[in-house]
Amino acid sequence: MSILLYVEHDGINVNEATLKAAAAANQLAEHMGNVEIHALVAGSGTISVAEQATKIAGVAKVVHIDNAAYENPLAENLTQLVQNLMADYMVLIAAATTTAKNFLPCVAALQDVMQISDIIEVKSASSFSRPIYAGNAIQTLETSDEKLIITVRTTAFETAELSANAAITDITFAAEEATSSFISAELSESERPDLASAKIVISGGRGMGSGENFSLIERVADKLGAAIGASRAAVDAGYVPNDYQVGQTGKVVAPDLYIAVGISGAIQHLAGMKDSKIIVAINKDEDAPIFQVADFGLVADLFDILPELEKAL
Amino acid sequence: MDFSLSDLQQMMQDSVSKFIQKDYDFETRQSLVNSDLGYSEDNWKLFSDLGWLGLPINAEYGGIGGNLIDTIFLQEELGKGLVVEPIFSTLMLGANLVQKHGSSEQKTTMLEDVISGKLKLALAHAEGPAAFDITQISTTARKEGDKYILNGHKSVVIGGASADKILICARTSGKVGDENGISIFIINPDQQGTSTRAYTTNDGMRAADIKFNQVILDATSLLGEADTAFNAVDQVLHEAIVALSAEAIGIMGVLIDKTAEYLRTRQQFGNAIGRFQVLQHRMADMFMETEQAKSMLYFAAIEMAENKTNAKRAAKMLKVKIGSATRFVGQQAVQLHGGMGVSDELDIGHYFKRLTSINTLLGSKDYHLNELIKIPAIRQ
Amino acid sequence: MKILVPVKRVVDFNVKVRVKADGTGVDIDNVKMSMNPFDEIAVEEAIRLKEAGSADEVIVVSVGVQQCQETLRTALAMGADRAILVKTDALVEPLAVAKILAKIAEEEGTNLVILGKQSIDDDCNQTGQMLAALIGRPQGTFASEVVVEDDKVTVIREVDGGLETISMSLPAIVTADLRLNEPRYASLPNIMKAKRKPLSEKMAEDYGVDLKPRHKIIAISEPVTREAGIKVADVTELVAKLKSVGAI
Repeated sequence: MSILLYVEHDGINVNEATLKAAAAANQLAEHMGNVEIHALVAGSGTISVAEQATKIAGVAKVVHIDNAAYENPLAENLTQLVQNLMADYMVLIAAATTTAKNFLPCVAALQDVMQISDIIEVKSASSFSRPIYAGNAIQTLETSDEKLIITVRTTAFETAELSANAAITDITFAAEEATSSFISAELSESERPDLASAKIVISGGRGMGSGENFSLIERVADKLGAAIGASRAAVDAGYVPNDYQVGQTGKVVAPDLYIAVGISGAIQHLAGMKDSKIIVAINKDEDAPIFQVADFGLVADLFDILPELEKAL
Repeated sequence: MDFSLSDLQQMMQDSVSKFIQKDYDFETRQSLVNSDLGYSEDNWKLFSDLGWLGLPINAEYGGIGGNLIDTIFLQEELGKGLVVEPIFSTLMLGANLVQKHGSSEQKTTMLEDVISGKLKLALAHAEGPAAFDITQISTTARKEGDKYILNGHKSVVIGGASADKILICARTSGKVGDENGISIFIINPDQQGTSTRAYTTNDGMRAADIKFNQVILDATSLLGEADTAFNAVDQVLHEAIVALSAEAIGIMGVLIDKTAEYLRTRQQFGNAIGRFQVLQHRMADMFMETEQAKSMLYFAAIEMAENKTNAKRAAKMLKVKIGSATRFVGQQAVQLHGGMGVSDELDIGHYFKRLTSINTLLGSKDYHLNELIKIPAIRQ
Repeated sequence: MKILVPVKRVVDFNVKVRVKADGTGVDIDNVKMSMNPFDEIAVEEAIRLKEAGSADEVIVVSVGVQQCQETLRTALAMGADRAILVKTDALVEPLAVAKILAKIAEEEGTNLVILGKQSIDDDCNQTGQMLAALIGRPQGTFASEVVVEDDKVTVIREVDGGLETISMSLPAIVTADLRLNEPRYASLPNIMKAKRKPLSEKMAEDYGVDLKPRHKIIAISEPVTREAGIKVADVTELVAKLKSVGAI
């Protein structure tokens, strides 16, 4: 019995988050006695994704299903597909992206197991650590379920290398017609790196004062090749779209460099970025909690500092 | 005794505290303090929508019919946010007096308007030497035909600048010191002969000094009956002590929480300063003072709500205890925060300022201590 | 149409929990408890749907200790019509909760179940999805907009890349994200009314669901804390420092 790794993709490329989940899958495979890892690529016209997936370190086989039903990752369709495959697998593992968070619990319920959400450490074949209370405590648990359904917090694992050479097995599956349907997606177009996997992230908070002022951040981000994030306050105020949100309920990021601008540092925001390697905080309030986690703090007015920073880089 | 809260009290507390957490942070409060009006009309509308303005008003006038004990939980939560909207002056002083002394027609019309947020009230009772004891007032209303001629001066009328109607305590008969002969007049702030000087008090609230020079009033301006307002006013002022003390309890709770959190985070000599025993002792003393004051508050609130023989005595004792506890807790909170404890940017100093104001309102600690000597306790 | 909204009693959003020294859990003695914020958003959405005429009844349910009654009363004070308390002193995992909810949804014949997307204590984010799978109905998770029309519900979902719109036929499951709405404050008259609204109590055992936890908690520990670093005086110093550690 082997591990099934769900591969997240945009129809063209394997999502970097999946490579992190693959690293976790590799650790788990070792604990389970070097069982095989199979990667599942479900999509429409996704042979190039499947080919990329063959290279993910530790993957022995790529299971590929090419069907219009999977063009958009509708939970109902993915659940049926994976539920059917689970007869042959001990473990279903995926990066904790919104797609996986959407359908993995469905599979777990149908398998009658408790999902293990957002793991940050593989302790043994049945024991894992995961953050609770917005990361204010770490829970280590031992599961008694026979099958494991796991989502992986990507910031806690290295990126798996692209060194393997697995075979692709094409499968077909006749799903029942779904009672839900995809209508449209409004995805943010950006030339910048993906927030979740960027090496450098620069985020703005309520201190930015307006959506227009985010252009100050954009100019610095351009210089650094950084992704742009935001605190919940900035998103709620409508300065930037929801997918910019870093925090307990937004994206969890751990770049090499995280620059927090005009962000006070509520627990919920810290939960989303405190694993970053280097944290820089720029805030005019000397007592802002963000300074308690920052490696380098600069107490100053961001409207003076951002243009200066742009020039200095 | 069972001090657990009723569902109403618990849920009201949750609702108010949620409002303060979400919509009334310190910055918001400071911007209101610095605004022209000194508070927010939108908030006032919201308070009305949420039914807070009807809490102490009887159900027959459209209110919730809460008693003084229910009221203290509202006041305690408002204290935590240093809320500047004129709830205390409108409800605890104005509406309460209307309810206790108004004619049935006045009650119906005025209290309905209070609940719907249309009518803000203030009570002008205090004068220089008569901060609490209204038998000592020198403002007079002399009856001439079917009119009254009002002369005198009122100081520190809380909410006096924003009130739509002001209730004036004036002597219509008898001499200074008599309980008989006190009447209440309802006047408009712009009444001819009235001059108002509005100002911001130390704690960011608004008050006014009001002078009356030959103000001519119709008999319809009288609240309830003439000459007989003493008991109602005295009762209202003692109940107001309880409500105001509840606000102080809320503030002291916040100061303890904030100071404890500061001691846990502020590092000195390689340690969080909260690890130093001397500072722990101070925190323990702050906590004890607050708990004692809180016990006094509950005692006085129950005595007053149930109209016990020693009720007013209990209210005075409460004011004395609040006087010493707030001073101690406020000073310690400021000192433990160091210099920033008094800076304008940090909320700590503002909480302390409010506590200091509370101590001077409705008679100081020394005043009530002196009064207590005169009133013997009656064995029940 | 009937809407079912499950609500969970959790440590208040503003409380910073502390891990117990013996590693057995977090210290929640005398800590303020409140309704899970996402559940509050779910309750608000259900009430708005009722106010808009899309629903006739909003039923709230909570699984847990007796005190969950307070959480239910809060939902009633916001405007829900009646409440069900499923009592148990045991720690109930999302899977078991989903199974109980499936039974209740069937019993009550609810057309729409709105849940919070995750609870802020165990951060699991799975109950809604599990419920959808168990009753075999479609789900619209992480919703930032919900529109009910006839027998369809359209949901705008917050996904990693932005927003996604899906349409589902009723009955369906929706889980609420942060920006779905701003929950109202319970007004005093409604708090008074809530006292008279029906709240029925059931025992978890009544539903014939196996409550035995699948996860054994071995330890609860403090996360690795970051040490505060240094303050820099200006941009020049900041850039120099970042260069010296190789961050840029």
